[in-house]
Amino acid sequence: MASSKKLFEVPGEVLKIAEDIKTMRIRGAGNIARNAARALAIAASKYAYREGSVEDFIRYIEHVGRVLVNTRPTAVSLPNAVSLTLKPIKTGRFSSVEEAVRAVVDAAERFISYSKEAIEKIAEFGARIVEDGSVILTHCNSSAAASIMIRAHESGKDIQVIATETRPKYQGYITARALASKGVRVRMITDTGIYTALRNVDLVIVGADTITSNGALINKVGTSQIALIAKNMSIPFIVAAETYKFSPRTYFGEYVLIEERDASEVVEKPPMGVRVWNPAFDATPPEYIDAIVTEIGIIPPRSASIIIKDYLGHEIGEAISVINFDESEPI
Amino acid sequence: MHTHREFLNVLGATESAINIIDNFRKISSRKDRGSVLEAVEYLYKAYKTRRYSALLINTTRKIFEKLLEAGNPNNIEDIARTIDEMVERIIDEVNQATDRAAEIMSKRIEDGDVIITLSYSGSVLKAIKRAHDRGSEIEVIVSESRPIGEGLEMAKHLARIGVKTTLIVDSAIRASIERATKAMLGAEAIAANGAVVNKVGSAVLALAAKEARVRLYIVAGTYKILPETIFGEMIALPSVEEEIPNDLKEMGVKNITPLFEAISPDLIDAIATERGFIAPEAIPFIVREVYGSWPPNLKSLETMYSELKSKLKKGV
Repeated sequence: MASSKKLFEVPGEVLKIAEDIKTMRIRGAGNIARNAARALAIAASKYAYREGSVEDFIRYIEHVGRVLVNTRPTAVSLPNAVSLTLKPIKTGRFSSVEEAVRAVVDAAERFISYSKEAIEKIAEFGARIVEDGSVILTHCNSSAAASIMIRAHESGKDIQVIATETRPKYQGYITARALASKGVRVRMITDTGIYTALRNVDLVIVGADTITSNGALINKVGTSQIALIAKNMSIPFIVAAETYKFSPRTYFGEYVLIEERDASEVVEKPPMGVRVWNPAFDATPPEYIDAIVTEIGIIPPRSASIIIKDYLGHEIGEAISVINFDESEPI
Repeated sequence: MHTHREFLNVLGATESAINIIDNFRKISSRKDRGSVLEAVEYLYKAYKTRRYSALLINTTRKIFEKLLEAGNPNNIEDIARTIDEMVERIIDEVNQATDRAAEIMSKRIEDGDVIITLSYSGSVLKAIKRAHDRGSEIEVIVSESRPIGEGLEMAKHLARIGVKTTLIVDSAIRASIERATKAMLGAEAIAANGAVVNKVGSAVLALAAKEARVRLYIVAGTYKILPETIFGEMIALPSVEEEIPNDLKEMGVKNITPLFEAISPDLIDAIATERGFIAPEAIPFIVREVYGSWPPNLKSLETMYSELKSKLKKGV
């Protein structure tokens, strides 16, 4: 093995993207995925040893993939995006580094445009199930969920959106901004206000960080208590999720790790003797979810394995065996 | 609609009502006709703007009743003295009732319990302190309880008395509940059907507790029961407006959240009161004990207020 050789250094621009994902300057599962693909394209383009061996380039780009994947543990869109972008170089044969670089850049571009088209499709399908006059409650910020509400509004449906502020980081403001700037009527509530607010709500629409193979939703903490109350009040609970948010690893029995973030996000200086527990996500059981809107159609949550096996199977299913993200750094 | 700041000093429901009652006494302390009238007007106004505070409503009734039946309107000093004595007695009674309710609740707290709560409740704090002082190892999970965020204050108090305390955001209530062995809340008011009105988020916690088969207890003196609700009187649920970024305001977005909400009685396992540990649906029995009959004989506060004012003005 050529492991004694030093790897080409990861470009600063790529490290910056990784850092921004970690610190949540880049946030939202879809956005993180697109940025990871973009970072791989940058890393490939900037690779200087064009005359070197293809194997060295592959070791380098996989290392970049691992750096990106290790920034945040919960959203599966991140490893899925990296897998899809790097799949061609693992499955194809290349006679030169130039060719391999091209393959990564092309795959990244394909992923980014696919991801954008997916949002369009989700908006189209999702808007159809929003009735005129609906009051919709949403939590946190999801571009897929927001696209449905914006599309419903633009198609002439009179809707009103209640957005939770989403402590500790107030991503609800981003949602309110995205919707209000398109002319949607938005009211915000604190996260405690969900029970009272839901009494006058017709529909809940949220995004997803990860969908497990049995149809559970991993999303911003607080999602599951909204789903619980909605179930109790017989209010439809809809999830907007691109197929690359479905987790192939859970199909093989793995748990989704729930990221716990720093106490300082909740309270700047925790009082003496007070511990802060700050999970970023929670799990909503499939029985509280009425439907998942994906770019290939609307499915009941329990059939999530269809997406993973039949649809993603030939891509991501193979791809997860392509890269072992747990492998220690090769340097 | 209230602004956020009006409630900034609100801690527990009991404490804030006691503050008002104490202010009422202070205003009357000049012991002349003007100050007694002013005090009565202050109390009535405080009641009008806080038609969710059961303790304040019940106390106002007691004070007005007493002032209507006792005292010569010409002897204003006598009336002022009555006020002094009454307020002192009421505060004593409330403290004793809270202590007794907390004592009863604390018997249900076991070694190793993990208690989840939200907001700031002096009654819950007392119950936990008793169990802790008795030597029970307890952990408390408290959510920050926005708007206002007085859960942080609750966490500070718990940590100060040496209880292992974990603070969470309100969104993490359901995610935390599987670790909890009991849920415990105070009350702003208790309605005739056993529904408990408490800080917003309480119904979220109650439903999550039910789902996880975690028992929910309310710690509250019977002074939190609002007998008017027997005759359909609704408990006021004011909203507060939170600050949001300016660009959102300019687009017409507002953050308006109710301050309180009702917990359905079927989500509550028991209410610990000074008269005993009861099911919420047993509230009518307590009302009969406290008021001597069910339904109780209640005179409207509005009527009492106008009678009292004309009585106090008579001496002029």
